[in-house]
Amino acid sequence: MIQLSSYLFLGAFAAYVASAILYVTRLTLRRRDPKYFDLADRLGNRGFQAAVLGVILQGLAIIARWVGSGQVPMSNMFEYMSFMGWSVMLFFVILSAWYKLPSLGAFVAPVGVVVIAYASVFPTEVKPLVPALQSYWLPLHVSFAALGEGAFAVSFGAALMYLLRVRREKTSQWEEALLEFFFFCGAMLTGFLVLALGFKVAGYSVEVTNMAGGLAVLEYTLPPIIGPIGSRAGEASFLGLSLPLVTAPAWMKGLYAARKLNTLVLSALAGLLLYGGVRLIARMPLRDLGTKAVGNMNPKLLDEVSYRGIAVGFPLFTLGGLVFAMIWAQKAWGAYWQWDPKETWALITWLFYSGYLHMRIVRGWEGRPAAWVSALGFLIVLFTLVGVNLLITGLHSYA
Amino acid sequence: MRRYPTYKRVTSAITLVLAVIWFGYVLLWPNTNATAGSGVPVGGQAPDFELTTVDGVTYRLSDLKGQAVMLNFFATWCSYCKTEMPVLEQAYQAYRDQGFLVLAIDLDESDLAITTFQKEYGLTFPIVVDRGSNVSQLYQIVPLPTSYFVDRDGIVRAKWTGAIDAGQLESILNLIL
Amino acid sequence: MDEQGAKPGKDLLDRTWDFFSSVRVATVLLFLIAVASIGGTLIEQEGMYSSSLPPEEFYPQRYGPVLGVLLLRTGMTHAYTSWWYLTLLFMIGASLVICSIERFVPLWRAVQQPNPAPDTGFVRRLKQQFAVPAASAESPYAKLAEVLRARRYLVIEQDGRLYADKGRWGRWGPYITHIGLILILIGAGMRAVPGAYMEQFIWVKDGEIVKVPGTDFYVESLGFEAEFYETGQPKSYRTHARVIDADGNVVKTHTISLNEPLSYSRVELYQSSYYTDPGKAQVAVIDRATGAEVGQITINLSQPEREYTAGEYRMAVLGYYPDFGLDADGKPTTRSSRVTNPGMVLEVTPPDGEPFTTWFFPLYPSMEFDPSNPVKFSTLSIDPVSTSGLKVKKDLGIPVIYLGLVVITFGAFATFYIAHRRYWAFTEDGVVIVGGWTNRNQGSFERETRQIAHLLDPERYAVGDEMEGEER
Repeated sequence: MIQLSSYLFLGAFAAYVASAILYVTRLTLRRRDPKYFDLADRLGNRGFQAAVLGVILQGLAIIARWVGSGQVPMSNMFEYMSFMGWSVMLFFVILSAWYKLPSLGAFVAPVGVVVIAYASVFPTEVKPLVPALQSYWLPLHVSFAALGEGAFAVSFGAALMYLLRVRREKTSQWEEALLEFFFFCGAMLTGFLVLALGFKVAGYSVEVTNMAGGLAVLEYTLPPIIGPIGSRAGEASFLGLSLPLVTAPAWMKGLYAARKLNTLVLSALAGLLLYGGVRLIARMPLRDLGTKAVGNMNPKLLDEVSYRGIAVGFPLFTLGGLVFAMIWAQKAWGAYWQWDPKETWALITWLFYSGYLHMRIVRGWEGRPAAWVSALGFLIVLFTLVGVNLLITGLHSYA
Repeated sequence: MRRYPTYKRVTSAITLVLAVIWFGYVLLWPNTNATAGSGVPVGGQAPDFELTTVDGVTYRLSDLKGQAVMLNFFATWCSYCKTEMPVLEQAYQAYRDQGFLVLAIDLDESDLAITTFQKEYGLTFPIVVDRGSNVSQLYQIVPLPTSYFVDRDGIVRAKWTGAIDAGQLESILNLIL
Repeated sequence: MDEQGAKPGKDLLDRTWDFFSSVRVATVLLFLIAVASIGGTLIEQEGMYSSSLPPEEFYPQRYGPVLGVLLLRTGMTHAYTSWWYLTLLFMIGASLVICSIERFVPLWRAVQQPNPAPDTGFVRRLKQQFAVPAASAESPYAKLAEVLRARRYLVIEQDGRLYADKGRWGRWGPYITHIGLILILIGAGMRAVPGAYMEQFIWVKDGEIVKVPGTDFYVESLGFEAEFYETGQPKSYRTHARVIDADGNVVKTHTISLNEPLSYSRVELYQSSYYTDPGKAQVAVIDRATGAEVGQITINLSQPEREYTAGEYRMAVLGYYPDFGLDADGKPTTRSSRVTNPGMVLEVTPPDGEPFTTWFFPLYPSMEFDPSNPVKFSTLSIDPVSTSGLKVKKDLGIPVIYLGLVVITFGAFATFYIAHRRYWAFTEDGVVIVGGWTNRNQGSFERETRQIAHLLDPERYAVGDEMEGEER
């Protein structure tokens, strides 16, 4: 059953990738020449169908994993992030049904793909639930929070499109730089995923001597350009290079500091390559590419979709990420709020989106400023999910 | 007349007053971090507890009002505790008629260890056992020995960590007797 | 008196009101609190760092002399109870209350007491518009009202005009949410009330009865169990517990586990921690010469007896060290009260022969100092004894918090999932002119309006024209 779930999951991932490719192709064709409009429309339809197929398949995958493991599949990073990816695609499908905006697919489907790919980097085996997680609050808290965040992701896509669309009017240097930075971050994330998944599929694993922290060896799943203190060149190799090339600086404390730095550096390099490559081929900054992609789309519609995503997601996130979380914390730990980093970042996310919603009724703040907040808000969501785990530890160390 | 209606002005006034009080409280209070029941400040009420001796005699702190009590947190394995025991015994003998009581609180050791210790040092004051170290936790005991001096009304008048000598004990006793 | 000039400027009170009733200010406050919350997640907070140093020493050590002192001075080490954070909370609380008061009465009038017969120009200027033939001269709105009622609109016909609306709760949503948030702030603030909040921690060994601090009752552990999966991961932690009141009666029995605390008398006990030590050792005393077992003794390692008898051998306990070690002078001592490495000195008196002294370490029975002793020991089994760590918590503010959470859930869903939709209609020359308004989801309201118009005049109003996103 778990195996079946894996196959279904793979199928869903393939469907999402297909959907993303179809949508992006559609957009490229439209921009190229009006004679392609009909073909583009057909591609758009196929893209939508692929997305729907993916949502169904992944839904089944989740159910299969639930049945097969006997517990709700929301207890580790893989399960949680893949549920969130499903939520992104689910809300994309729903919002596409309400608003005819196929071009949204070119921006949101890739986000879904990225989230699912990121989920796949983590170990996928089913682990039995530790005592703190044995509660019906687990699926309630996790699912509603993830649904809310999925809707926020769709809003992010539409907000980005809106910002690219209204660039024709005066934009400040900061905004231009920030937009380009968004694309660079996307490149870095994609670079990381390509590397991580690629090496994972190839089964790459290397152990390197470690004299920092309490472990004697440190396992690397990416080529160790940066090794921990105590490692020597030649312990690993890649493409004929004798690795590690350098060791992590001594002021970096933390058991896994060297490995994390290595991942960061490699991702940045891969991201630079990708970004540079695309920029070279396109012969323009990526934000200009984006603006070309959104063409003459109706900015009001983009703005409304962006708003709607948050309007739909906010109550869900409030319920899942705050209400259920607080009640569960009280039941499990006897304290509904302890300023644990993950709890606090969930609050920061909530406050941020509350700010967005209030901006919409302040004259002068509803358009572009609000769109920026939506775009940044999603980064905060990602930080809450991923950054807190990687950089800060606390009570929430399971997912 | 462009002033706002009364209910708005009253609310604003209340808000400003509360703001001043709030700001003052928040700025002046050194650390508004409060877990109730933690720490035993000198001058405060000694937290009540109930512990039993090896022979099954129960002592409840609140029942000891009227007596000047020295709560001596110790363990048989702590060297400074051993050093000060004779001093405590002497003081107890000298002042017990005046209502002085030494209530030694042992940090969760076996009856065997306690009775051996009691015999070895010839201690006549009661030794109660803090099973589970809960009272030590209540009094936030870190180093041993630590003693709290409680007056006849149950107020903590002094705290001493480390071995105490006769002179120092004498001067503190003046506070509680 | 100059009538045109000196309008008295707004004084402090009015400007205070303007400040706290402004949505702009509220928005800024929200973002400020969000940013203010970040620092506390990056800097280890007081009470959360694992070191026995007090804050004044810990922070300079951890973050360096300059940064460490700066953190202490600014209050960043206890960010969420710092003066700037609490001030922001106060301000957002004031904003919540004043914003709501400011808008409540006008909103009440607008929503609950609508004007069914506004100026016809107003109706014509509304965003959604359609015109259909009147149903009949006497009751022109008959068909319209029927269609609207079928769509769950509340329809009012008055003075020859029609008014219909639904989804009023959608307008109240934000204020319901605000009330919920105020409740949460109150519930959290209740901790400051003396007697409303208490947090303690107690250790209870299997079989022990411990007084619950801050209360007048006791908790008894009937046994702690930890279960593990084959992988070694924990499966469950449970304490079988009983509550005994001040009079000695058992008033409650409950198995405390994570997610299932014990509640009694407004206090809750949560399974928080545990440790297991060797409890009872079953030891065989063996005659070295014959190899035969002389007898068995059971030693309670936290409460050993003075004397043990095995067969005809008597053993007196001369010394017992639950956590055996050597002190600075190399003499035997115990390092703590916990049974981690028990060691005993026994004076053994055999039935026939001289008493002799020997060491015995129940965890390492084969460790001997004198192999010429006539007896040796063998530890047959060691029963562990567990001590369960329970967090004791009392927080009278919790029901208020829960209420607040329910209220904000309702408020958030009402605000965004319920749209307030309104139609006004008037008649002119046998034609019913209808104007529609909604507070959110313009797109789907447009769709609904078209559908209503289509039902009343199918030829004129076709359905299917959606909001197009792209140019052709």
